[in-house]
Amino acid sequence: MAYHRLCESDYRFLSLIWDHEPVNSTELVRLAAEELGWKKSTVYTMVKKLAEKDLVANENATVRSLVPWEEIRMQESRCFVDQTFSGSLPGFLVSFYGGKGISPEEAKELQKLIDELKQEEA
Amino acid sequence: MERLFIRVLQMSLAGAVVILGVLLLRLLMRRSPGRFRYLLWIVPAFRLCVPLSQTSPVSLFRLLRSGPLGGGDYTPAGLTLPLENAITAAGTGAALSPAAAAQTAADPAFSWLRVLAWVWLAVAAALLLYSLASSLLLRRRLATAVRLQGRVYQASGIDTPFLLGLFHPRIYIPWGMEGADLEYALTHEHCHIRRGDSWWRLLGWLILCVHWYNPLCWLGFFFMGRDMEQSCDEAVLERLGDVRREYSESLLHIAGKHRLSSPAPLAFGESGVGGRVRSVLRWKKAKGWVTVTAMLLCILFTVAWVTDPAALAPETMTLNPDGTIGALRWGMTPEEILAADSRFEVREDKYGYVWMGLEGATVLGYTGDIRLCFTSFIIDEQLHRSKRGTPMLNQIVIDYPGEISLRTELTALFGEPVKHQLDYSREPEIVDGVLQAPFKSEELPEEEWYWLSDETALDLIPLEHMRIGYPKETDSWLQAGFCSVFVYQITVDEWETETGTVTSLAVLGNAEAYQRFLEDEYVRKTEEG
Repeated sequence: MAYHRLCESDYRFLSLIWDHEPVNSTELVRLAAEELGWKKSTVYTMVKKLAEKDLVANENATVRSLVPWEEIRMQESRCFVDQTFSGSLPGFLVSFYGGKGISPEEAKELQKLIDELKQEEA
Repeated sequence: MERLFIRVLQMSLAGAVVILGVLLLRLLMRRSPGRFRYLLWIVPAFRLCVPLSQTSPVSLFRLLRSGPLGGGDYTPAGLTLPLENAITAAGTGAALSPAAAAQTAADPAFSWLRVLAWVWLAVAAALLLYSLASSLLLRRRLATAVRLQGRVYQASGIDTPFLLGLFHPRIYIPWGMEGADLEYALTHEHCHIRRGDSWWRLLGWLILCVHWYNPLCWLGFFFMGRDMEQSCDEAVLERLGDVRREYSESLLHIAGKHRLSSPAPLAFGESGVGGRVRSVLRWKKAKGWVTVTAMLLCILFTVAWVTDPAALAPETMTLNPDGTIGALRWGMTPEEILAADSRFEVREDKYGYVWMGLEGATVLGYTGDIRLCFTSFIIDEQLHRSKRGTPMLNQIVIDYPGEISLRTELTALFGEPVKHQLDYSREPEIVDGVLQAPFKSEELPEEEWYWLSDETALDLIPLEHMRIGYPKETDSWLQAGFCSVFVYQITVDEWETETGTVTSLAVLGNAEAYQRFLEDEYVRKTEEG
């Protein structure tokens, strides 16, 4: 099945096309910028990618979908990413909220500390 | 290249000392608000970025000569040179003439220093390239992130929220994040945005790329990151009230999603989250006096390490058995000295004189034989016309109470001193076909003398076991101005300094080479200007 690599972003973008199809690509760029916060180049890359998967068609600068909304909707639950790249995020670039992960042992230990505070509060 | 490398090494050393200082102070300030700990990192960053800091601009040569600097604002009592002279350093790198560069390039001798310098540069360049590549890759990966609101974007492939970007930083969160987790994460990241942390992080990283060989810099970068996060955690608690339990659970919850396949690479004992959860749990609203004390500590620390770097990293040189100092040898050409000791610089002062020298050295006094050798010429202001006049010796000796001076020796050599200094601000006059410099009208102070000589004075002055005490910290610039060229040779047996280390100054030789070199520099600068 081609659909199972479809991720949340793809789905949002497809939804945009479903809502407005057939849609002029310039219009699509505007819509994606507004709704998704995307750049023009991102939109074109995405259209190309989805066209390669035969999910959309791009003819004469007009984009339309090739799969019915219901079908993708059924597949939505299968949309996942096998591997995250959080571990490889360069620490000099980004500021992490949750840090770079934690071992189960340490998690257990920290949970204990939090529970102690809970008891104090109670 | 080697000179640059050595300069970076020196900065690195000074920076390492400050980093150690910050690490110690952090321990002391463990319970104080995190933002103060975070602020402290400005100091090592400054030391690692800025090569030169203010030093006491007092010249040893004030004692041994008169000269161009005496021109306008000579203040005998205070022995101070105009600060600009000491600090107009900007662009000295460029002043290190093509001649010097050519000489270095032509030198076929294999030098370890050169190899190390290139290795250093190559690794630094590789690190920068890597940073550039990974940031481009990351941008591409995040291009399809979908905007949730404002600058908050949802992205697939991540499981922890983070902040990215310099001018328009964006907060990226994993899909499906909501509720309290989202609120805490956004509050935390907005704190980063308010403080421009992306810029600080970038600055830290750039510094690290340059000082990559310095383990203390890596340690410093790590702890700076930690202080950055913890101070934002505190901001969340201050903003949302005492949500210590909820907030730390959220932190743990999010970190826990990021499964570690192997035992965590816990570089410093605990993961970032562990330390943060612990400090969040410990958090108390800071009392007024704690804040004030922390602030005072920060200010004290900054003042101590930023404004008085001379005390921090004294310029030291080793005294060689033959009386020369450091890497300097008798008869070296200026190019050779510049290549041998990176602390020597060529500078131009505000009067347009070109100087070569060493800044920041401290000499409190020395014993042993002193040989002086100096030449002085009066030449036309427009040097490229090269109308050279009568060679003259001009020399000022300042006597300090209780000390022996050069006066007796110099009088024996050059006759009685005069009490007026040459005035370099006026055009030389031609009297009976001889170019003569005008004198200043005011008389020199009582303890100063000034000699003039018709001959280039290359005599050696033996001063057996004499002792000259310099009561003040001196800045030793070997100098050559273009109304006069001074070249000194000094040998010493022992240096007495404040710190007890052998500290200071320089040995020069080859007077002609100096004059040529500095004249070339002057002409070059004049043409550039």
